[in-house]
Amino acid sequence: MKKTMKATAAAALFSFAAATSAIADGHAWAPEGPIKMMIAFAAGGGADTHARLIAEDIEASLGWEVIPEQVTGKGGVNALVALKDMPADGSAIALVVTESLGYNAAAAKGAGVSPSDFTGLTTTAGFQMGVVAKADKGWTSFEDMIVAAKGGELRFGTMSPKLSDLAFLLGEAQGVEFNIVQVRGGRAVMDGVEAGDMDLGFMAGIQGKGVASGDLVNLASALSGPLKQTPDAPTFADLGVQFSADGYFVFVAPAGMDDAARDAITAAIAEATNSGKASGMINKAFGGAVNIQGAELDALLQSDFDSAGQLMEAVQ
Amino acid sequence: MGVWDHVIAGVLAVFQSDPVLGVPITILMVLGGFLLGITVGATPGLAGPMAMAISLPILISVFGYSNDALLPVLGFLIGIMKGATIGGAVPAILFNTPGTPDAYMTTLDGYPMAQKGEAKRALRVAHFSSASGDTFSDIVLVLCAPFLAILVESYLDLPEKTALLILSLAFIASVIGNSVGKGLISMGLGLLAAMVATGEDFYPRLTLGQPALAEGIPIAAAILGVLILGEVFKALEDIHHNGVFSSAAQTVRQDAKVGTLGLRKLLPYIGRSAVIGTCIGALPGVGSTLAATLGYTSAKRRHTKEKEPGAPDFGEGAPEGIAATEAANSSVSGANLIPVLSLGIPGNAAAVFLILAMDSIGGFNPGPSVFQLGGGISAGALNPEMVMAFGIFTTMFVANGLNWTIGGMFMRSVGVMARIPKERLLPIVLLLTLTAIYVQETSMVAVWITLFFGFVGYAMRRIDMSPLPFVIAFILGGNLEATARQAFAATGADPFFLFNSPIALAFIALAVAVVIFSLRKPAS
Amino acid sequence: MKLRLSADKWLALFFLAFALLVILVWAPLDTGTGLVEKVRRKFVIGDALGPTVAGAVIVIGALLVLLRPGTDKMISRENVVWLAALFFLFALSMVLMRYAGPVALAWSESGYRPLRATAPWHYIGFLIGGTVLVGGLTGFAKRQLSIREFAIGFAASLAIALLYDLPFDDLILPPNGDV
Repeated sequence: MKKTMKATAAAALFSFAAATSAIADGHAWAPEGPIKMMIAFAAGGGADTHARLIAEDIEASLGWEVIPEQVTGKGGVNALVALKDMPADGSAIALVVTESLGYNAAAAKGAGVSPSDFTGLTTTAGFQMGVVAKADKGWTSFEDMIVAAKGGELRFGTMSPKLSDLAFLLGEAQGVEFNIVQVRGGRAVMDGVEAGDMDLGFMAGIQGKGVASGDLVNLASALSGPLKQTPDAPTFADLGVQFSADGYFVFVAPAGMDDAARDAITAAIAEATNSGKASGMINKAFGGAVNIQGAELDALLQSDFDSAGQLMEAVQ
Repeated sequence: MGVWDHVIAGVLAVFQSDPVLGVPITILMVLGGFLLGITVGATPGLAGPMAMAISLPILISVFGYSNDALLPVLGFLIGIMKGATIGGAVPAILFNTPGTPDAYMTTLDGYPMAQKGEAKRALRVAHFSSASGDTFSDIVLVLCAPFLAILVESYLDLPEKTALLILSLAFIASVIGNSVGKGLISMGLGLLAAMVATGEDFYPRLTLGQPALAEGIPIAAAILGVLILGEVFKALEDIHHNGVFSSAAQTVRQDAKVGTLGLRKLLPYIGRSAVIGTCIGALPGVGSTLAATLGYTSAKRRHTKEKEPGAPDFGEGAPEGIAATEAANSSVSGANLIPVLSLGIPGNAAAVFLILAMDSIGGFNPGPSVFQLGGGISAGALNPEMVMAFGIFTTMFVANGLNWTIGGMFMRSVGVMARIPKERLLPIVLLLTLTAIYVQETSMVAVWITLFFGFVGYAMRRIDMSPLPFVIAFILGGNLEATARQAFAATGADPFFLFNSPIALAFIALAVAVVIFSLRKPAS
Repeated sequence: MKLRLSADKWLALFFLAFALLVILVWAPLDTGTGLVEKVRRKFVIGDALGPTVAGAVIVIGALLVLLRPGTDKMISRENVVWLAALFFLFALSMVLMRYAGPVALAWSESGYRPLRATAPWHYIGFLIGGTVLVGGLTGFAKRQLSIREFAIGFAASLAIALLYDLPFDDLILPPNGDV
């Protein structure tokens, strides 16, 4: 009931907004029917929440009907497989991570997906991927942890095969061996580290609050650049690993989408990530919106896909 | 932030939820669920879990997947769960037909009382005992669940957690149903179903190359199929073979005056049964029917020794019999949330649907991490999951309050439900279930999968194999595999990780012992 | 020589055979990794281990049933006939549900698809399929098909359709997500 009313109100608003924005922003394109938004992450988590807020923001500001739907599993590959054969008329989009189209698409040979099957729309936010441990371990720096690892094998929590590879390479570069424990989702790593089931692990921004309060420590940045929250922590390049965990949430559509639709949807999502409820949540959970789009996004997706093979070879 | 901050935040989450018509929505939902539960419980052929299953997709459509959805949805389901138990006593007393299986023992003394013209008194005894048992059980839940969870989290490492899951599954397979062997087969099938398309590799395992299965078997399809469709198929066939019988033909004389309840005499029976029911409820897999049976038989033994001369025997209309049964079966509902909230293990069908709800909405993962004070990660922040847990406790006490105040009154008005013929009702339940599945999955394939599991559930019932181990194993299968993988990896690929620590070893030994011990159980 | 086995023993043998099939054929062939795998120079549990353990649990269960057969209950011929009748009814009503709308609007210019969210067209399949399902099932149970049961079936289908469709505009009734 509430939703119907909201939709009607939004529609009324839209008739006005559309008239103005069509002239102002060039939003000439509008979807013919509802847009199916596939979300490759479990309901209730940060990724899911921000996608649903973006859907709500778009509904409110443009009057398009966006229907979110969970298509989870296989690190986003299931969503990509489902999306691949849908019509490229803007009626179906999916939220995955760049890793889904990169490492995971390359690793899932049987699924038959690659960046050329999709039209990249825009990224929404980047990961502040750190190597994190609980403060009461007593490690204040990355070196402290390595000293401890030399004394006995440590458990390293990760949430994807790519990150497991990175953890392995990190150990190799530092001359220690980790017991790599791969779990499902960033929340599970944090719970594991909190409960003492793991000694350290990758966290992609979820550690923000804990680091701020001093309960958790960012030992290193798994990115190519420093972490915003702990700029002094060494990066993977500093630590002798030539790969990084740079990654973003990204919206994609099937390949062959016409430019008007691509531009309109990209603009709608980008605007939602920078204003309204979605923006607030993204600032809080992921440290601000990152909108990589167009040719730059195409290049990013392709290079991630291509470099996946090198990473897989490096851990053999 | 301490425990009390969480308790207060949890209570406030319920009482300060968005008001509708001036009443906080969560409380309104508990009320709605509770009334629906009594009605459903009073309808022979329908049971609480059925109503929970069908309501869930509708509730999720209304409230969506946000964190604010959890308490109203769970409140409604908890309301149904509690309402159904007391509703089941109504037709048992008035028409000699138990509305739910666990009310069978209530017919033994309830119906004779009704025949003697004491129907109202019987209903009041049933209500009082039920509400008392329920309240007692909830108090035990609130006191035990957090401590059990903290104990598990601080003393059990990954290998021990794996072993604990194995022990729970072994226990469930052994105690449910008449045969350990069949229980284990049922469980194995459930584990197998949980494995479809859930592996860690990118290859979708066990899907036989079917893209429709690549996302795995929809949880709701398998559970609703086995638990609800299977039951509907069987019940309709029984009517087909045995003919329609009008169970609720005659009404009983209504008594003019209720008389005194004789509380002083009833209380010892209620107390014993509440303790029995709570203990039984806390063990996963042992249901309210067994609790009712144990409560009744233990009371019977006491009654024959201690009854006053002239008072009716058990089976001839003794109010003590009703009290013992209803207190026992109602006190299961709170305690069965102890393993749910502290370990993430569902013990019976009602708990299965609560876990399904938490799982579908997201944001609350039942298990030991719920009660971590550090779960909010910083000393100054609340752990949202723990707040939610206390919110759930609050809804249970709200349901109790409703039970004490309006439950009895409402209960006396739903006797009419027993007149609805099953052969008309069950096909409608079937269509409603299939529609609910479709609304969630929007694919005819999911409907066919549900029907397939309906046939599986039907076959299990025909060969005297309980479908509950299947369902519980299906829910826990993924968790068990993930924990085992992590334990194996964390111990540096130690193949004996289940046997290297004394606690894990003890759990595994107990699991084996429980199976062997149950083998000696005579086939009944 | 003729084998004389109780129903439970047949049951045990059936599940034993099924479980062995899972362990020896299905699990090895239809999984991407073996029981254990060497990944990053360490062993990890592979995707075939879980199904194999599930199969092993069934084997243990079947052996225990063989050892201690209990209540001899078997699926009888009557049960099979009932299941076949149910399957026929489900197939019929599902086909009606799925295709009644598109067939009814085949003559129209637009066809069914653009109208799949428009009243009253989008109810066609659900109402016809639902009526046959509910009326037919009640008829099966009572051993007598009657107009009355189908009328109740229609009323029930309509009530369910309205229950989902009126209050929630983003819920999709069968079969409208498939067309």
